[in-house]
Amino acid sequence: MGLQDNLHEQIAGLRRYALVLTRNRDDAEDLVQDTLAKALDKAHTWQPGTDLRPWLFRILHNTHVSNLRKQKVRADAAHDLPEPVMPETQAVALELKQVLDALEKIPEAQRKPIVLVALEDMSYADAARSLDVPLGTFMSRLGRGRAALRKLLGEIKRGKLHLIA
Amino acid sequence: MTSQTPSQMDVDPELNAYIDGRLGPDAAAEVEARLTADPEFRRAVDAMIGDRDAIRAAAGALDTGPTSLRTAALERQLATRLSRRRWQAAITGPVSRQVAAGVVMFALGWGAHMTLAPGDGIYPSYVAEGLGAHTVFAEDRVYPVEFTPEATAAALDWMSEKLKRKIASPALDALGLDLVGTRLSGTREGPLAQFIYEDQSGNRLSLVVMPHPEGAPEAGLQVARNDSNSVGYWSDATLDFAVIADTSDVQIESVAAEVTRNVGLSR
Repeated sequence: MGLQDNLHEQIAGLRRYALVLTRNRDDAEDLVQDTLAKALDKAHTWQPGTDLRPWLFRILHNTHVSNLRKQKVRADAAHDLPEPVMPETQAVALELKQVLDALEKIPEAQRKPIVLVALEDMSYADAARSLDVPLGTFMSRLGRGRAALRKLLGEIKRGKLHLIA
Repeated sequence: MTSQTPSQMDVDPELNAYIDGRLGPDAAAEVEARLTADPEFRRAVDAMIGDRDAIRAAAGALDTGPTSLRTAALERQLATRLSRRRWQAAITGPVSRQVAAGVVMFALGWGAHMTLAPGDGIYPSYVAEGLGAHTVFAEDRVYPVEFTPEATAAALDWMSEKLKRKIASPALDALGLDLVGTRLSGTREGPLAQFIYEDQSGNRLSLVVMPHPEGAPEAGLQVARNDSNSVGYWSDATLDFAVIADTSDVQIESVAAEVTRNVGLSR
């Protein structure tokens, strides 16, 4: 696959990942655009011959952290509901929405590893690098995040929590 | 055996690798054995695999919407930038370092003409530029030339003006080398003219000409190896030359002699 096709594929992955993280199409598109703009500035840091994916995701993660601060300011100023990004009519949507809602309830540091390994065919080592954490920390967060997610989803099944209105 | 609970499982990297299908057959079989011995453990692990799949399915069901024009524009820009980065690495990376090793012996005596480029080593910068141009263009059969042989006269006029010296003809017919075309490009050292030639079998040779830095000493022919390529380079009072081809050093010397004799670099 040529560089152009590879980049196109990676950007599609970034957009989907950004959407899961932000649950808002505008925020996700902003995040991807900011990521690409920074990648342009940092093009000299990409080592030709190496995988583009961890490099791009690392930039996305760094961008996301700084965007979160901006979004907090925006959220404090306005109370608009995020634009729904999943068709409500789909029969599968409810269960999938539960998963995404539960993901939102676990700490950011644990959420990213879980979503990364679920969506991206990236090695644990590359995924850890993209988050700027040691592999051990990454694995620990992945495990703890999964356990927390399972607990949340298990409780939904038992009716302890009502995440769906 | 005591069952593992989800909270105990979180420190088990092997288990996470199993959930993600990243274990080798032997390690996976070991985990399978643990699961078989503990039904509650298996239920918990299966549920986690289900969660992972559900995240993937949920992400797949999300509508990312059409790509915005700005995202598409950024993608194009980034593709261009990364392509350039790849070529730059090809030019100034291992190739140049190999040249650097080959030329360092006589490089030390070149004084002002040498370039100490960060990360590139010590070598005449126009040699690296020439090698890069040869690698990128002469070995590319799809878009190798800017000026066809028929348009060479116009290219020569332009180049002569840029190089501030009349270049009469780059023909190397006497050696059985046909001019395929000419490329002009800019480098950090100034304009670079690349003449690309082919022999009867389609093997390619580049002659690269750049302005010689003012005040820098002239230099006789030096020949260095760079992978399968041989590069011969020399400088007169106003121009730097390099000939590059996948051939023997002796042939490169012949071409260099022909260039100095016949290319007609009259002042």
